[in-house]
Order: sequence, then C-alpha cells, then structure tokens
Amino acid sequence: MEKLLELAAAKGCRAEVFSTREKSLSMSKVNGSVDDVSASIQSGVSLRILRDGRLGFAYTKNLIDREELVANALASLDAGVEALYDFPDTGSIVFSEDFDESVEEMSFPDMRERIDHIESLYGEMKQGIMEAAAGCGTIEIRIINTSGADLFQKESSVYSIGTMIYPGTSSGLKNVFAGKLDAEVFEPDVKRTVSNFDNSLPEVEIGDSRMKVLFLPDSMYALTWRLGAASSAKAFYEKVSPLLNKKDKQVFSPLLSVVSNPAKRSMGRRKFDDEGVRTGRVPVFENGVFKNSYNNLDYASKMKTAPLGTGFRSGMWGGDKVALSPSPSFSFANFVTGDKSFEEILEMMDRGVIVCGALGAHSGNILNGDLSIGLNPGLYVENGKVAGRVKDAMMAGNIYEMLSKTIAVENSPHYTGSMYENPSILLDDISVVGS
Amino acid sequence: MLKKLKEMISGADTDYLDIRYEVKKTTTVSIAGPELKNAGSNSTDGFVIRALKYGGFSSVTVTREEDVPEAVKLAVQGASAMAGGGKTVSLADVEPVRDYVEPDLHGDPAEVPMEEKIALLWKYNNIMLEQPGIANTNLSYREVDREKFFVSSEGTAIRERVCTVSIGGEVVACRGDLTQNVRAAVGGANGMAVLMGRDDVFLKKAQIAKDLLDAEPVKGGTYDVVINPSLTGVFIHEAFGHFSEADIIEDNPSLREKMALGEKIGSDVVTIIADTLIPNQVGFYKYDDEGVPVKTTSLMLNGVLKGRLHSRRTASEFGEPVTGHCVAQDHGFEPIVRMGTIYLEKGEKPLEDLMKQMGDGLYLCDGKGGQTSGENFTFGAQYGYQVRNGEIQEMVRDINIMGNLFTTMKNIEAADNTMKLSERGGCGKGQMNIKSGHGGPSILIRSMVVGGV
Repeated sequence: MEKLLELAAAKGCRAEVFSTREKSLSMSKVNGSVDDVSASIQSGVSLRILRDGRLGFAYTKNLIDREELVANALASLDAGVEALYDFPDTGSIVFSEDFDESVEEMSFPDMRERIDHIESLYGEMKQGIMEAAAGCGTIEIRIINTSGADLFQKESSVYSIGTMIYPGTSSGLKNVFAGKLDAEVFEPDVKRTVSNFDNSLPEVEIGDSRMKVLFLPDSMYALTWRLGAASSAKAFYEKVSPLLNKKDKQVFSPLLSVVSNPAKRSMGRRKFDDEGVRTGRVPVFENGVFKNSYNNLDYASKMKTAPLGTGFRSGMWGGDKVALSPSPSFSFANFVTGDKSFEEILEMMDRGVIVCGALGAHSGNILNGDLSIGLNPGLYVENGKVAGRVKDAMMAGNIYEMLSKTIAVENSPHYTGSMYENPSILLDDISVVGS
Repeated sequence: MLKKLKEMISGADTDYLDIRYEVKKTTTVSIAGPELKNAGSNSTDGFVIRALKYGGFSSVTVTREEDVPEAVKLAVQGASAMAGGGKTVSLADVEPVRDYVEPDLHGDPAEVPMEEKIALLWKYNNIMLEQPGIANTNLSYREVDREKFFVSSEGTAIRERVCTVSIGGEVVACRGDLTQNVRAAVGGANGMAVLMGRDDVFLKKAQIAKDLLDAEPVKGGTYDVVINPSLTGVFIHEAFGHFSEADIIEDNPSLREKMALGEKIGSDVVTIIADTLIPNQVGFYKYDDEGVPVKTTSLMLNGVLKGRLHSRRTASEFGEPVTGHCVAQDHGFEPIVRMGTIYLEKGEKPLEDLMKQMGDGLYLCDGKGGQTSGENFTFGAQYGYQVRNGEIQEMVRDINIMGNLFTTMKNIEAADNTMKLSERGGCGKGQMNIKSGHGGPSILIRSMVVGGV
C-alpha cells in the first residue's frame, strides 16, 4: 500500500489508497432441506490521486502490478475531472473492537447447526414455506493517504434469518438476528412473527381507501432512499433538491428525526468514512425540521463546508466498495426512536395496513419524494389485531405529506440486515389502492 | 489460461468440479450537469469454483490466484456439509464443449480512444442540458468487456469474450418544489456503432422531462392500460420472466404446480420467447457461466406454458432440457438462473386500434424500474397519457403499477404490430445482470392497479 503512495508521489500527486479484504460463509435451508452453500474470499485496492486540481481514480482486485494501477490513475487524471480538495490528515486509527477472531474459524458445519436451530424455533408450519439462513464474515478496511492518515478497521459479523413464506407466494415475514460474535435469537420476536403469520394467512380485498399505515423497519428504506436523495449535498449543489430553501423549516411531523451516525449502531460501526474523515453525529432532520445536507470531500469543497464523515463507497444497491468512488452517503442515516412500544402502536390502528415489505421502492420519482409501492406483504389490521393480508394492494403519496401524518414512532430500533436500523412508524390517512 | 485452470482443479476429490476465471475491463465516464465526474479504465479478475460431492453442491469465489487451492478445499467442504441435508443435487448431462468465441463488434470499444468516448458523452449530455426547463443531467458511458475462461472436470474448456457498451442516465427538470426525472439509454453488445447518431433519443427525453412539469399526477385506481414496447419489456421481464427462471419456483410446491408446463396461464395473444442468440442484442452470449450453449426457448405459446429457463442443477431437478441460462454478474459471483433476451411476440393491429379497443384508460410509456415477488409484480412508467374514447389526451405523471401474474396474463387483450428490444439491461436478482434484454410490442391490458401519488 505504502509503495503505491510512493509511486504516486513520484509523479507529483497527492494520493489515497483504499483496500479491503473480506471473507464470508453462508448456508440456507428451505422446508427442511439445505438449499445453498457458498463462500467468498475477496480483496481489492483502489487508488485516488490529486494533481493540479484534478482527480484520477483506478482500482483492481489483484494488486500484482502497482505501476499499472498508478498508470491507470494517471490516465484517469488526464481526463480532467475537477477536484478542489485534499485528502484529510486524520492521523492514525486502529478500530477492532467489533472483531472477534473466533468468527474467522467458523465453518460450514457451524452454519448448519445455526440453520437447524433457527428452523426448530418456528415449529411446524400449518401452511407456507420455512426458510432458514445463517452466515458469518469478516472485513478489513485500510485507508492511507499522503496527508498522513493511516486508518484500519476490522470487524466480524454473524447472522441468522428465519423467514415464513405465504402459500403460493414468495413474500413473507422474517426475523433477522445478528451480532459481532454470535446472532442471539430472541424467541419472543419469533413468537410474534409466527402469530402474525398465522393471523394473516387469509387474503383480504380492501378496495381503495385512506387508512393508517405502519411501516416496519424492513420497509423503511423506501422512505430513507427518498429523504437521502433530497438531502444530499449533490442535490443541493445541482439545485435539484425539493428541500432547497427549506433549511430550518418544518418539512414533516415533529415526531420524526433522522440522524446519520456511523459510529453509533449495533452492527457495522465506522469511526472513519471511506475517505478517511472521522465520523460523527449528523442531524439531517430534527423534530421534522430540515437541518443539514450530508456530503463527501468533493461536495464539501464545492459547497465550501466541512466534510461530515458521510462519504462512503456505496450505491443504492450497495456495490463493490473498491470499484465505486466515494459519494455523499445516507446509508448510515436512521430514524430516531420514539416513545411507543410496538404493541401500543398496533392498538392505535383501528383500521390499516402494516407494510412488511415494499415492492418497487426503487421506482418512481425518488428525488421528488414520490412513493408508490406494492404491499408485499401488507398485513391488514382491524381494531389493533392482524386480521389478514391485503391482496394486490399499493400505497402511494409524497413522503413529505405522508410523514407529516406521523402519529407514533416505536421506542426501539431493529437491525434488518442492511445498514439501516430503524424503528417502526405509524402514519394516518394514507391512500391505499387495492383490488 | 485454460490449461492452467485445468491443472488447478485436477486431483480434487469430488464428483464434479468447475472453475471460471474472468478478466473484467470496465471503462466509465460520468457527467453530472456541466461537470465531468469520473473517467477511467480499470481491470479486475477473479475465480469462481464449484464442487459437487455426495449430492451436495457448493461454490466459492476468490480474487487472488494463491487463494485458489484454499477455495477448492472450501468448495469441497461446503458440498460435503450440504450432502445429507435433505436435498440431493445432480447436474443435467451436457456434452463437453471446447470453443473460443469472439463477439462480432461494429467498432471495438477497446480500440476507441478515451477522448472520443468523453466527447460523445458530452454531446448527448449537452443536447439534454441545453433544453429549456432542464435543471440537471446525470449521464454515463459504460463499457464492460469480459474475457471468460471456463473449465470443468467433464472436459469442457471455453473462452468467450462478451462486450457491452451503453450511454445512459437521467435528465431532471425542475420548477419550484417540483422535480421530474426521465431516463434515457442507448447501447448494445455489438460495439460502438450502436452509440452513434442517437441525438434524437436524448432530445426526446429532455422534452418529456420538461413536459412532465405541466402534467398532473395520475389518480390511484384500477385502469385499462396500453403500455408501449419499453414497458411491455419490463412487464414481461418482471411479471413473467422471473417466474420462468426455474430457481425462483424450485422450492415452492404451489408455484411449481401453477407453473407446470402445459398450463394455460395467459390469454391467446401471449407468446413469449427467450432468445439470447438474437445478434447484436444486449443480452447476446453463446455459452453461459457453466459452459452450456444457450438455446432459444419458447416459454409461452398462445398463453400455454411451453418451457423454462434452467441451470444444469435446476434442469435435472425439474427433468427438463438445459437451456444455458446460468449466468453470473462477474468473477465475484456464482452463476444463477437469469434471463438473456426475452420478448413478447407482436400482433397484427396498429397502435391506434388498440387505443380504440381500450376506449377509456391510460397509455403508459417507458419503464422506470420494476420488481417481482412471487406472483406479484410492480413497475413504474416514466410518463403516460389519459386516453378517452380511444384518443390520447393529456399527459400524466407519477405512475406505478402493481399486479398479479396470473390475473394480468389473462387480461392481456391485444398486441400491436410493432416490436422493440431494450438497449440496456440491469436486473438485480441478488446480483446485477447488465445483459438482461427485453421487449415486445405495445399491449392492451385490462384492469391494472395504478398507485398514483
């Protein structure tokens, strides 16, 4: 890595080297039969160079020829991409509190034991299909740059997932359990899922009407994507955000706050972002008021503001960190928890639907905040009880109007297997279109 | 390289073993509005190893050559761990193949200088950006050139190069708080020629984005709709195509029953073909990523299910012929069952007759992403029009549709006499497939649920 910096410096460049090494195992079981077994050992290096206000970028998975990587970065630099920033001098950070070396020793028989256990917790299903999955992995990230930063992070993770699929469909209800060393399974969560599944087996035709809608943590990404598109420094710089001129203004319910804080979460904590900037708490929306856009080094320099530690190498669907350039990232932003238990929220629903999965959340005018998703599945609730699942139904609206109708926020966040850790939120008077 | 791969997998204690090595060269140029954001060419490589032992099947991906022995060992361990787990895997028989395939390129992108690619992208970007009402653009040139080497313990040894180019992105129009965006894309798998002289595509999309600022959101409800070829392609891909991928329904007994070959699940006007061998199309390839020659497959004939897309594993499980549709995103992924080019056959009527047949409803145009889950699907339209009494009238926006496969396939009432295939793929079934082409004619569908906003 250091050699790459030397080669780039010899060409008169400031430089940054980002490298990763990942190892993972996974196994899954469907209706009692082991279905998929796979493993992956991946590594990669990417190089960014700066010279005369220009940026060069190159990457490879196999660092065999350093000269070639530097040559690719120099060729990229010649194209003339403007860059008015320097790499940060973050000093040295070694963060390995979230790493347990025993995870590296885990094997396929360990995964087999876990999927057998999780399957046993769901018992004999009356109808539908049971899927159990387990996996483990480790990831190392190192960033060094010519400004003096030398940053290293190593973490491990273990997960178990139980999913109950409705008969004749591919949609269902699931529980995700994850940890740095072990995925502790909370049996009350499993019992609640089994009960909701059994109660929602009948299909209900709801027609077109307005009703209460409860977003579960699994479907909250449909909202987060839209808020993230609008509050990115990129959208502000390009003057296409619907939040332009709305800083410090109320844009939805005061019950809701959205904060990016990569260092404070149960899984995947980050002390520095993918550009080597220290992470911290970035309140994007506070009590319904738009407070801050989030940025990366590039847009911070363009907007003449400080970088916030929110520059990550990720796309809408994740992606290969090594091959992606850092961009302003909302992937660590979460809704702040409220004051109601899930049971209390359910009791508030005289008539409504629970959005357990969102179909087509990536469709439509995301930047404008328009949301039109299939409820997949959507549980139908009457008088605080799950009474079935809706047939062929969509919910639609503009999220700023929708979130203005928030009436409750759950008091605990839930890890759902993605970066997001959100509570459930209950909205009132939302348009639901059904068959 | 083929000889080296053969040596890497020789001597392993398995019933079957294969290895795929791939070099992927990617050239990307990105522009946002008036700024060049990214330009460069990069090369990555890696190995995928799969092992079958005692009826267990496992895969391992690695990037470094020195990790290959560990990966082979891990794949064998994985297969052994799966063995006795309730499911016995076998692979459908195929004849070993030895072949070397080069694509038929009209202008090899590898020979075109970067400056020309950047200039072409600027040209299309500025065509859109200079239109009145346009606030921004995000446009990218993307060239993916994959050199794949596949060797199996059965004696297959194939080298195939597949090369895809595209220029695509979005154009954004703004007025006050209202923002509207429209997607534009050109591309294919037959070289640079397909990218040339396409000014009209980008100009038209910029005009549509601007017009959407004056359009009203569609009101949610149930409508009869005519969808244009682009949307027909998205619909066939999302609603039906994924269901014809054997791995999607493999472990779901009730769906396997509903999708049994010979079942009539569509109306008489619905005939669907998977033809990855159509020359020059984005989906084109000759061998899949387990070394099986791809075959043109009739999936539905006049509403009756005729065939299915398979890997060797699913073909054996279903007792059906292999089709050569087991494809990986790249060297970082194991292959899974994927569509190549899939389309709905055209009919005989002109579009105007479909409108008259519909009477009142919506005319919906161009896909804006879709998704499927079991028999439910959803997709977005970039723009649409109200149709009254068979006449196309005012523009509407914010259109998303949801439906049920089995209900909707029977509600397809007519297809017009046009045919258009997509120029850029992008299906995210667990991993990205940029070679998922689709298309068809305009079709009339009764009673679709439209979400609106």
